[in-house]
Amino acid sequence: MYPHERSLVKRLEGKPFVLLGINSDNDRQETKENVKKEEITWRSWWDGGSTQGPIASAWNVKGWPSLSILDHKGTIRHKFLGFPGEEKFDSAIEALIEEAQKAAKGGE
Amino acid sequence: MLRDLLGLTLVAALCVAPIVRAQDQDKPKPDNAGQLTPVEKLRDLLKEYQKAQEEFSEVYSKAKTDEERNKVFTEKYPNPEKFADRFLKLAADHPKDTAAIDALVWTATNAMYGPSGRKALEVLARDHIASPKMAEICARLVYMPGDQAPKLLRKLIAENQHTEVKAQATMALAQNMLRSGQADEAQVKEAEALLEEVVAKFADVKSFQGTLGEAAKSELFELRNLAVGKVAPEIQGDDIDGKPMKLSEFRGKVVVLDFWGHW
Repeated sequence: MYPHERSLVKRLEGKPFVLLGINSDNDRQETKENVKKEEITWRSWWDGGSTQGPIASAWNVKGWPSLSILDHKGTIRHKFLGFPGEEKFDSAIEALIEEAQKAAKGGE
Repeated sequence: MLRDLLGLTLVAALCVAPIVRAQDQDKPKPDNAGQLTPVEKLRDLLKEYQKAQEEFSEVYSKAKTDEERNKVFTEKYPNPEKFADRFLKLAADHPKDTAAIDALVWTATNAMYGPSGRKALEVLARDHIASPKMAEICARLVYMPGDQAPKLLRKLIAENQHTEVKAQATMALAQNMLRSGQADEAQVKEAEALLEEVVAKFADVKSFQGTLGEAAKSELFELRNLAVGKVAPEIQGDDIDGKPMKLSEFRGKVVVLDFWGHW
C-alpha cells in the first residue's frame, strides 16, 4: 500500500487533503526506521505500541489496515476494512476534495 | 481319595472356567478391533487431521520459492472440507452420542464456508439446539454471509436455556447484522437493542478477549459515534517522533485515517 499512498500524497499536494496514520506497531525505534526506509512522508499517531492501543480501541478497529475518509467538516464519509482498491479509494477522496473546494468558494 | 481329588479338580475347573471366559471377553479380540466407541473414533479422526496439518506445516516451512509453496499447498494442505465428510458421517452414525455434537461443532467451525459446514449447522440446529456446547460456535457465525447464521442465532436465543449460549448468540447476532454491510435502519436499531441487552444481562460472560459487556460497549460506541455520517471523535496524542498531534487541527481538509502497522 505504501507506494500508492506515496503517489496519492504527492499528487494531491496543495489540495485540501491530508493522510494521517495511526500506527499499531510494537517497536517505536523500528517504526521510525521503517518510516525512513519506506519513504512514509505523512504523519502517524503512535498508538502505544500495540494493536490494542487507546486510539485503535476507541475506534473499535478489528483489522489492519482499516481506513476511514472524513470530509472537510470532520464527518466520517467512508469506512473500509482492508484497502478497497486504488480506483474506489481515490475516487472517494477526489469527490470529497471537490466538495471541500466548493464549500471554500461558496463560503458554506 | 483319588476320586475325591478328581472331583475337586472338576469343581474347581467348572468354577474357574466362567471367570476365565469373562476375562477373555474384556481383552480386545482381533475381530473386535474395528469397533471403537464414537468418542474414540472422533479422537482418532482429530489426531489424523492434526498429523496431516503438522506434516503440511513442516514441508511448507521448508519450501523456498513461491512455486514450491504453491505446489506444497496444492498437494499437502489438509483441507478441512476433505475431512468434514468423515466427521459428518461419524455424527450421522451415532446421533445420540456426545461425539456427534463435537464432530458437528468441529465441522461447523473448521469447514464453515463450505457445503459441509452448512450441513453441520443444519444438523446442529435440528438436533442440538438446546446443548450448552452451542456457545462455541456463536462467535464463528459473525462473519458468515447469508441468512443461515442469523436464523440459527435467533433459534438459539429463543430455545437454548444456557446463559452462556444466550449471551454469545445475542452478541453474535448483533455483530452479524452490523457486519453484513447491508443493515437497513430497522436492522441497525435491532442490533443496537441486542447490544444493550448484552450490556444489561450478560456483561460478565467471557468473550474471546475480555468480557461480552466490554465488547458490546465498544460496538455501541462505534454504532453511535463512528458510523458513516457521524462526526469523527477527536484523536489526540503524539506522533511517532513524539510531537503532539490532534485530529481537529486538520478540520477543513479531507482526512484519510489509516490504521496501519508494518507487519
